Parts: sequence; C-alpha cells; structure tokens
Amino acid sequence: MATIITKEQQEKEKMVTLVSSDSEKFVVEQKVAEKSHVIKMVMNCCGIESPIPVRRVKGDILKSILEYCEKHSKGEAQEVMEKWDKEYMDKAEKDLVFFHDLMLASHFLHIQELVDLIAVTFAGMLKMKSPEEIRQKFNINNDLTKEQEEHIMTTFGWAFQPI
Amino acid sequence: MKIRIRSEETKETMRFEIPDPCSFSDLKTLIASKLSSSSNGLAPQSIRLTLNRKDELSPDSPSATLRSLGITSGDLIFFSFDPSLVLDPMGIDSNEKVVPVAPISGSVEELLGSEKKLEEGTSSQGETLDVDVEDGSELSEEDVETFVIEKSSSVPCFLKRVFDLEKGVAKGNLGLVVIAVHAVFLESGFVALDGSGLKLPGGWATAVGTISVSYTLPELIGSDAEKDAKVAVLKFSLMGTYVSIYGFLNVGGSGVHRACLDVSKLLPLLCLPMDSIGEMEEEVVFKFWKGVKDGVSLPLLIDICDKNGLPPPPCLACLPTDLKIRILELLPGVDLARVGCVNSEMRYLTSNDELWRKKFLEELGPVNENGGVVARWRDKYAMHWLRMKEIKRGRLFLRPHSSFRRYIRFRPFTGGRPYLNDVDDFGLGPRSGFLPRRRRNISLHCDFDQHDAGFRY
Repeated sequence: MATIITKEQQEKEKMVTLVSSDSEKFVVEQKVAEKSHVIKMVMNCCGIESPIPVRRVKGDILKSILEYCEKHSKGEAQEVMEKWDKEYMDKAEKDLVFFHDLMLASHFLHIQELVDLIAVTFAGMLKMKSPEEIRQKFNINNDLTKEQEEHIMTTFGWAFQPI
Repeated sequence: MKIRIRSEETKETMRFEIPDPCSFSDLKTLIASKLSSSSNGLAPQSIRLTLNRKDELSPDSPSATLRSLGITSGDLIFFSFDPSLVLDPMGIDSNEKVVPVAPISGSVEELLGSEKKLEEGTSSQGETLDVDVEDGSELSEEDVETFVIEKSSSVPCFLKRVFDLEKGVAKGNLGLVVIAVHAVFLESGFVALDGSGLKLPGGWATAVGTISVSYTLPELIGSDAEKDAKVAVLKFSLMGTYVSIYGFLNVGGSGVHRACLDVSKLLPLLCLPMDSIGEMEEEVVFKFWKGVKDGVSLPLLIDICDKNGLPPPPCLACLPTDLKIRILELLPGVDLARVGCVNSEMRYLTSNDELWRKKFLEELGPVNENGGVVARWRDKYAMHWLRMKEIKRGRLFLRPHSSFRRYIRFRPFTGGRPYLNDVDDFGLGPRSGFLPRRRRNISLHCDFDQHDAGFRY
C-alpha cells in the first residue's frame, strides 16, 4: 500500500513547465506533455527540470492544445472522447485564424491525433462549396488566368453539374 | 533544338534536346549533370567543348547563346575534361577561363566542312566519321518518336514564366537555383525588393559566393510605412549539389528558416525546356517546390505579416503542403474537383493522380484493370462518377453512347505515346481514348455502331 502512494506521489511530482512564444508559462503533468512527440523528445534528452520553451506557439494556442492533451491522456471511453472532440472542434472552428494556428501548432508539435482531427474538420469546411465560396471563406486570391480557368472547366467541369 | 554530344575519350554519344536559345554555360551544366549521375560531381567549368576536337569553343561570355556560336539543331559537339578544373564545389563561374574566341564563326556549312576535313585525315578519324553519318540518319528517324512533345501539367508553369523573364541572366548552378526559388517566392505572394514586377533586382547575378535577395509584400510597397517595413532576406549558398537557403527578417528576434535541398536532379531540368517535362521530372520539381515553400517561404510569410502588423496570410494557403494534401485526401472526389478550381496551387495539388486513384478505389470500388490504354485516374473517376449519376437518374439505357467512338475513329494517332502524359488537355471530350472499352463493359445491350444519337457530357 505504501509503495502505491509513493508511486502516485512520484507521478504527481513529474510536472513540466512549458513556455509559449509570448512567455506565458504552463505547468502540466509529464504524461500530458508527452502527447506531443516533439516535447517528448526534448524531455527525453534534456530532462524536465528546466522550463521548455515552445517558441513558435502563442499562449492561447498552447493553452488550447494542452487542454486537448490533458483530456486525451486520461484514457476515457471512446464515445465520451468523440463527443468531447466534437465540442472542442466546434469551438475552435469558429475563429478561422485560431483554427489555422491550432493546426500549424499541432503539426509543429507533432500531435498526430490532433492534426488528424483538425484535418477532418477542415475537410468538412470545404465540402459542398463552390470554388468562389471557398475563396471567400478562406480569403484566397484567384490567380488563375482565363485560359487556365477554361482548361479547368474541361477537366473538372463535371463536378459542377446539378445532381 | 536537338544536338548530339560525344565524349572524346569514350566516343559515347548522348542526345539532348535543349531550349532555344540555350546559353553556353547552360549546355555545360546540362552535360555535367548528366555525367554526374554516373560518376562523382563534376564542375561545368571543367568541360571543354569543341566542334572538331581541336579548337575549344570559348565564347566571350558564358551566357552567349549556342546559336551565336553557329551551333544549330542536329550538330555534333565533342567534349572532354580539363582535369585542372574538375573539382569546384561552389559551381560558380568564378574561375572561368578567358580564352580568345576560337575561329568558328560559323554555320552548318562550315561545320560540315570541318567534318569533311576529318574525312581526308587519318584513317582512324575516318572511321569515326562513318559512325557520325549513321548517327545522323538515326536522329532523323527518331525525330518522330523520341521528341514528341508531351504536354506537362501545371507544375512547372510558374517556373517557366519566371525563367522566360530571367533567361540569360543566370550564372552557374547557383544562379539557376536562385531563379527557381524566386519563382516559389513569387508564387507564395512575395515580390522582390527593388525588382520590377516578376523580375529579380538587377545585379544579383554578379555577386560571387553567397547570393542574397530581399523580398517584401505588395501591401508594403507604396505605403507610408514602406521605409520602416521589415523585409525578408534570403541567402543562398551552394555546396556540391546541395543548396542551403536561409530566410530571415531584417529585424532582430525573428528566427532563421532554413532549407537544405539536393538539387542534383533539379539542375538538369532547369536547363531543359519546361514544356518537355514528364511525370518523373515533375516529381523532382514538386519536391523542390515543397521544400522551399514549407521550409522557408511560408514561415517567412507568416513572420513578415506578423512583424509588419498585417493581417495573417490566408488560412488555407499557409498550411504546409503535407497538411494540405492530408486535407485533400479526406475530401470526396466531387469536392476535390471543386477545390481544384480555387487557385493555381490547388489546381496543381489536385492534379496528383495518386490522389485520384485513392478516390476512385474508395468511392467507386475496385476496378478490373485490363491494361492496354493507360488513362489518368482523375479522368476515369470523372467518367465513372458521371455514369453512376446517369444510373441513378435511370437514363443510362435511354441514351446510347457512340459519340466517343466516333471521335476515336476520326482522330489520327500521330505516333509516339501522346496519350500517356497528356494531362491537361484531357477533358471529357474527344481525346478520351479509353472510353469505348469501358463503355462496353457496362452497356450490355448496346450496339455502338447503330445508335448514333449524340451523347455528350
């Protein structure tokens, strides 16, 4: 019994400090931080005693990512997780800039599960939209020349037929 | 223009199709890179080119065109190595020898004359000449087959446009790489500082050693803040066949983004006419494009917007290429096609046939490949998709479909293999060479030749 308690205590002690690009500090359990492959490698080689700077990620993004990692390190039932993921994504996709930064950061930190989740949500945003709607939503310039556009219509024109 | 290049030592002949105009140094680079694949790295400067195996071709400047030296299509050029110059890791024309111009002012007649002189010479040279003549006849036969121009997809388009503008300015391998990177940067939305439009600022090619180019954004030009605007600086250096590109902002605190790319496969392509690039070569260009874009240009774009207080660049455009591809893989085919119409980058990414093969197998099930006519998966997908729709509408058996066959019947095959890589021209129209077979598989009661009602998509 006594050994178990010490183990738990040891686990508790294994906290790591992450510092975002705008110098915000986050103290999380090691197993939460380990969700990121990159941070895990840093911890393996440099230890967890000193704070780990995450230079390319801003505080609000890092906070959101750690929230995800924490939830996913608990090992809850799949249905619970799916529901939580959906809510998490619903919240994130409201702000496109935030959503985009979240994807870049999770890619940078190598959190494959989160990258996959965001990619699926992103694909969902592109579905059932015309090219013009996509351009507007994501603020993309149409840099195609007239000839290229005509060309595209010969290759992809079929996708615009009414179903 | 097609030329033959023969080694003086091994007598081995290579055939090149080179752009017209092609500069003298381009040709040397091309030869060096062709040979480098078999042996170790060769410096283009170490190559000696002659027309008659005696007098070295040495134009006033390495950027002189071959045409100005009197070299025309079908010519035979000999090459050998100058051992004192074989190792030159920088690949820059810094130690270009200044040699007086060889007395070849010529034309085809003169060249023929020099070959005739050879014939009159010793017997061993005469033998070589016989081979030459055979080669000449071979070449004319091959004209039809080997040199059929295959239309490539949109990949090298951005490169081509920029190269057309900068042609002749490039100096050495590094110069070529700088132009290729310049093309990627333009494509990402940067403009060269002090440059005009698409062009690089003048004088960049004269720099020896490390080349540095500065970029800014169109939004920052002409604004009040132009003087204080932070610009992105790129530095290039070449070591052997690896080029390192460092990108950073001219302000402290921003990180340095670096890409190190192996350009040994890219360089020969940059010397070739962009129109003749095939699928394998496209892969090489794509890898380079991706490396530069994800490694340097996109991170710099995000940095430069951030530091200058501009709104962040468009969300979808700034994702690394891997992520974009990941997202595209998750889309159903019909949405993929629509996304492909958004801009040139998406058009390019959705032209990947492997992606369409996956879509086809995912959505339309395994298909029995009969071999024979090779078609693009994208077009196969389109066809099957439309057919499925027709079936759903219940129209399939009301409309016989022989119009495709009619097209095929009247379209002459021009030899070569024009259908294999014929990417962009391929619509749903007349060139769908594989259609009749596929049609026959599903239309059970249809006699193609009797029903002639026009069925078109």
